[in-house]
Amino acid sequence: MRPNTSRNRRAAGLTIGWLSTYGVGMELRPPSYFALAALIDGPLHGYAIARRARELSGGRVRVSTGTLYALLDRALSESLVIAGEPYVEGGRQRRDYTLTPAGRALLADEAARLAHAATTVSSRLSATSKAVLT
Amino acid sequence: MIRERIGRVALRAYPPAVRQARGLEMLGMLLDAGELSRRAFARESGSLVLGGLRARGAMTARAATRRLVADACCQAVIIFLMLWIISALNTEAIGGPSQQLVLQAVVLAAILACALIGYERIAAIGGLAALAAYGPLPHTQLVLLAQVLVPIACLLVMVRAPQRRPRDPRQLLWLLPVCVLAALHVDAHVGLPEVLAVMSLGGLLRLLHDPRFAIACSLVWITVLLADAGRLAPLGLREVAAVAAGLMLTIAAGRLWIMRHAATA
Repeated sequence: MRPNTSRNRRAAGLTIGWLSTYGVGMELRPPSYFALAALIDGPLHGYAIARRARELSGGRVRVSTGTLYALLDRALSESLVIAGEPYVEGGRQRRDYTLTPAGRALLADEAARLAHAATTVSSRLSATSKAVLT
Repeated sequence: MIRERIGRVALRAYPPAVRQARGLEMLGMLLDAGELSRRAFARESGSLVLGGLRARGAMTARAATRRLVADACCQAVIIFLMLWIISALNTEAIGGPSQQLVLQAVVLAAILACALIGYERIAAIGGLAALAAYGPLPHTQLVLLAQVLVPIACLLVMVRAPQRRPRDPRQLLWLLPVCVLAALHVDAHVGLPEVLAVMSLGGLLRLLHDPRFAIACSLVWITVLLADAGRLAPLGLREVAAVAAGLMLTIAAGRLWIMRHAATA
């Protein structure tokens, strides 16, 4: 089985038009990244996704209603998430969203890219700070 | 209750299809997220309006250019009809009671009503018939004929490619501003270019999510330019019309380009 890399997904015709591209790799913008990451542990409804995204980002990312639904629309059209049936809870209509394997793979790619970028910069910083100290 | 009402108003920024599919869900999230404070509710409502405008913009950006131009021509027909009704009423007010002018205004209002509700082909055929009956005669000066070239072209486009929208009698509410503008035109002596300028401002505001009305207004400005070009009137209106038409077309095209770029970025 081929690894589910971003290159393979593009070859399979899965376009990711809402992501800005950087060379061969892809970059998810922080609201999209944390909103998708909110679904790693299981299906959540809109408001729960926004709350979880805020928690995961340490309060730095605030996903508003308009932004979240624009993001979910695109994620649905790219098959990164699937929507469940609507239900009523506390007098409010809700619908749970679930991360698909494609969405999970995209998140894994993005996490690896961010980790690689962080490692590169950290190692360069520590190397140059040693040089500055000596 | 008030918050729910405000939320429902904010939701109207979204296209009807999205509202139908997700409206209640978005409203639920808005009320949840806005529970913390008034400020949070205002921020969330604002984001909902912006999200709605973005969704409408994305729909427009996905439409083919030919479809957008055809829609703009159809909307231009509606503006032409509005201005024609106002002009007929004004002529009647200045020249004294005239059954013919009142009949003309009634016929044009009926055609406009058809166009607004969504019976566009019928309205376009009616418009062409009205032009033949009340417009300049073929043997009159070329200058007079020039001013009907754009309306005829728009009416023909309306016959061939009417707008794809559901028939909706609520659109008749657009007759209200026509009545207000007609009253202003007759009582306060506001000229037709000023009326068109007000409509153009509306077109510029709509540019946030849709360039069609701005293109429609620029087509009407082109007609004003053509109508005034051959006359020996002092300079002024034709320059205003030329600048307005050019500016609105350029801004609308630029906005459409930005919307398309944003939709694919």
